[in-house]
Amino acid sequence: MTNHMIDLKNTNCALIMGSNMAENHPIGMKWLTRARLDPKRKAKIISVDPRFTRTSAIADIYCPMRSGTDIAFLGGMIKYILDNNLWHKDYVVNYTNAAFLVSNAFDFKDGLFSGYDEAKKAYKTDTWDFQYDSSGKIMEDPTLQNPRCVFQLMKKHYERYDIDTVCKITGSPKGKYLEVLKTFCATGAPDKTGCINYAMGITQHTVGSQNIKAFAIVQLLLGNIGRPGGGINALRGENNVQGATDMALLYHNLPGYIDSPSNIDAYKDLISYIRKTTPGAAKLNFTNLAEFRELVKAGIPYSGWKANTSKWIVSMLKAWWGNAAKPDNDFAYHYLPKRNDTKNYSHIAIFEAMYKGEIDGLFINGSNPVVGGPNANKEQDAMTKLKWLVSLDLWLNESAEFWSYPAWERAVKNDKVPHHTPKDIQTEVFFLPAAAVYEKEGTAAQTGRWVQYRWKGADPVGESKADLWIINEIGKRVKKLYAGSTRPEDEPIVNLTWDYDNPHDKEEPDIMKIANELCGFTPADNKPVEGFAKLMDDGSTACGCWIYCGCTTWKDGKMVYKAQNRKKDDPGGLGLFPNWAWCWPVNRRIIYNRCSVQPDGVTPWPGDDDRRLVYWDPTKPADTTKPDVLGTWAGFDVPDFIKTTGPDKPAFKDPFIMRGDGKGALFGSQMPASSYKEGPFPEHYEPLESPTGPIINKVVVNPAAKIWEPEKIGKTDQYPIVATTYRVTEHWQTGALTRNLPWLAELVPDMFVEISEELAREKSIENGGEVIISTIRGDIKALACVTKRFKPFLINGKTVHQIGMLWQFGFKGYATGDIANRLTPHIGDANSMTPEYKAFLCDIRRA
Amino acid sequence: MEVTRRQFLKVTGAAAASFGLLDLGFDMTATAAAVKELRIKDVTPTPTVCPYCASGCGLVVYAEKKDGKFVKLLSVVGDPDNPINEGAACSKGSAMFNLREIYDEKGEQVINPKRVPKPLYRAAGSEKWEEKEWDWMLDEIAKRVKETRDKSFIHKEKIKLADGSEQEIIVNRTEKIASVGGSGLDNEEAYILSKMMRSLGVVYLETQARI
Repeated sequence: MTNHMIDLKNTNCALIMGSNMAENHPIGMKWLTRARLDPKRKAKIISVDPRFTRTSAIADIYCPMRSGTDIAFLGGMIKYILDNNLWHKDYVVNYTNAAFLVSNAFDFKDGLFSGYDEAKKAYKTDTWDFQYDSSGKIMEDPTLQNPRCVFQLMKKHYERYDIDTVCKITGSPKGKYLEVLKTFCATGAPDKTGCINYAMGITQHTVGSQNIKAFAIVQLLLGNIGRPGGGINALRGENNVQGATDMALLYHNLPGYIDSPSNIDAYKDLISYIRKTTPGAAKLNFTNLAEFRELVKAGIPYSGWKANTSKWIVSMLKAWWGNAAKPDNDFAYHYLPKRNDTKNYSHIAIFEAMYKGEIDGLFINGSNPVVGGPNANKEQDAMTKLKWLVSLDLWLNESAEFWSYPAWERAVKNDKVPHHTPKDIQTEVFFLPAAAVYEKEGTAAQTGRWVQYRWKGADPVGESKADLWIINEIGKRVKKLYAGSTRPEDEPIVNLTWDYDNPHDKEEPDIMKIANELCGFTPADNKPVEGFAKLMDDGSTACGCWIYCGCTTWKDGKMVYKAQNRKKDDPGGLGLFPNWAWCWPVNRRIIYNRCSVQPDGVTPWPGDDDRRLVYWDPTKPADTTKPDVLGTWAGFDVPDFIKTTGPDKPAFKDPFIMRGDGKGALFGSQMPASSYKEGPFPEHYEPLESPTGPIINKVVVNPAAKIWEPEKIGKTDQYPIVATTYRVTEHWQTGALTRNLPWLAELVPDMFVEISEELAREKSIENGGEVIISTIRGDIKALACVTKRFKPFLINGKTVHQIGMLWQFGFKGYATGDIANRLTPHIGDANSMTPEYKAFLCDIRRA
Repeated sequence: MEVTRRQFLKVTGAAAASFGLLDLGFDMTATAAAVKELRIKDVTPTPTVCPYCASGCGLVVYAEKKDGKFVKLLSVVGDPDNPINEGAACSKGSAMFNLREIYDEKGEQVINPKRVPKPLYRAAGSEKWEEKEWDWMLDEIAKRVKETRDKSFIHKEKIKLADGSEQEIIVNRTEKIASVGGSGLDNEEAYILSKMMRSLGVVYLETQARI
């Protein structure tokens, strides 16, 4: 979330799209209902969803929309904002790249942007750039009239997204769609803010990243980013999926969202890495860190806060390899694994490689791909090729028992679906019983980036152990096997810092030792570094994850972990609670908050005095040790701005400090940040399996998406019905942590599929009866829930049915049922490779 | 923690109940003592955060402890101090007691029988699990990791430089070991997992954020 849960109370309007918030984040939802009851806000809640959900039931406006058509829906919204002059002018001109002039070579035709290589199914992005003057400065037209400025190109791009065309694609009733547009776009008024809340209904598509980019355009045009009650709010689904992402349990990052290197020239050594990852550095001449530091000191144009990347990577290397990370060996940069740059290593790729027998060993930590993975029949089959599997969980979930007899039972006999017996599965399985959340201690980052501490309230069951203990022990034992090795390839393990034992407690590692390393310390005295602005790239600081730097401090002779803070003061009454837990970065609760004040840095937006988070104060010093240097950013929240950047500095009106040019990107250019794979503006493409041909352009599926299984694409002749998946309040994710709890198993005991009354009549299906749902990848059985919550869509003049089902059932636990992901495809978003779970084609019949 | 525990005691009812015996206007202390000990005797409150969705709701674990030793749970309920949920909990949060303990068919409070009390091993081609000791399991896993890493390790690779020439660089990776999951871990756990996997050269490293 750019904002946070409690901040939802400050909004005037919430657009909930791709999320069933009332069901899946029920407690968070109350902050929206509170905004509605607040006489000052009188907030409206809008629910856009293929199905009338529990969120729709609470909402003021419900608008149906066929799965996978979000960009059409939002493209129409962008056009409506521009046509009706509803955009927030001062915000757009000053805080976004609307005025930037785009290269004359940039073009768009028939659904493709300039630079498409049909053979490679990829774009060459050099035309997705700006025009520069002779000094290398991006050319601008603040009047926004130049036909090559971002604003005019955007207007032209979305000209095709008129209401009639949009509704032909989405199947939304025109009247309802117009009501959504009117209501949400009213937040473009300077005294109003609106937020967009989304979840996996947005990301789990071949165009997932561009869906979010479309949100960004809408919110920037309406001036809703960086202000209380605004934002683009990802409602994350797992209690610490935010933290796991921060710690980079993802192949493409290192902790703190810096690039993980690959085997290319640009990552070959530390200096190359710094040149590649620091915006603006590519054009500069330097051969060592000392020269680079001089350039940073002088100011690298278009580098933004990322000019500090060298400090983050060097401090991380220092944290991982201690004394072995030295100035004369690139701080052991060469120890880091370098990916094969031509390969993808994401979830789908792992299971595709496993399927081909390329992977021998797999660790699964509190995850359950046999239920939760896309194309679960294939993923389960892939696991049979493993030599060994290590599973850490509270329960013997479906993945830990993928080799058992029940794992291969199927509702319908289908020769195309793999079958095995335990005897022919040669995988050794190690199941390590893990402690439950309150049987151990540690921190978790919730969806608004608040890092909260959870204390230990009970002992682990039996011999089960905290994951911290288990991972620490595996690390210790692997290190022991390599101890004494002098082979250079073993150095990353031999020299790895791994001293987490607690001298006072044999059962638990010392969590404070890990906190100190994760949040940053000075090797000279082992004391915390007080915030990432103090990190260095000379080896004098160590920090495992720079964005957590500042979560620890030194007080009264000992380390304090601020995640343990439990004070409840709320200056400003905006729900920031700065002394409750700690929030990354630097306890800043709303990011990009420079936008909450007018470009002059002082004046609140007209009529919006109480939502000004920060302001420029010319009368106070930024640094109390330098009382003569006056001028600082101050306010209720920690300013998302360099404190000393005053009106005399060119960056004074550049709120997006993580971007090289400091502006919100309406146009996703190739520089100063890398662009999306499909183009600078979101364009609607159909899901891989779609009930219709192209309507708004001449391209059907995302032209940059990788097709893993061209032979496994369902067509409408056999599979005419659109399907999607979702969850219920009573169950969580794959159900391992809920179907094993009697109270919850009893509440929702059965796997069901929701179908409209119209489709039920067509197929002679009765409410409560058993049905078979089939796709090109498999079949499952479920109970039919015949409901008014789904209605047939009218798509381009043709009736299209959509159904929806739970993906939370499996063959283990107190409540069992068939696995919905046996139906879903192996295809991912072109940028993130997030699987397209949310839109696929199926057929349904009575069992 | 001291301050925190005291704050929690305010809502445990422990203090309120002991005054309540006199508030009725007559002394029920002796009667109450004779009938039954209060269920909240020896109960300690501990704040935690929900393991389900990422709203970050606080919950309080009320557990009976004797001589500093944990005995059993009393309840797990919403934390009224946590500003995110203000004491509220959804159906999943309200069922967190069941993560550890349940009431069996006779109404007895027992450990959830679905929890696994000992490490389990399934041999290649086997139809069943075998209970094993932690030491054996962890040593065997470490051996598998080393064996797989060593035989598949790519230490150096020739790459093409921007000027067209070739150079051998250290790439330190194995593509034979993969790791998925971890979004249910605490930050400290996720951090050392990320660090360990990368030191081994693991590049197939993924968490639920992707899916």
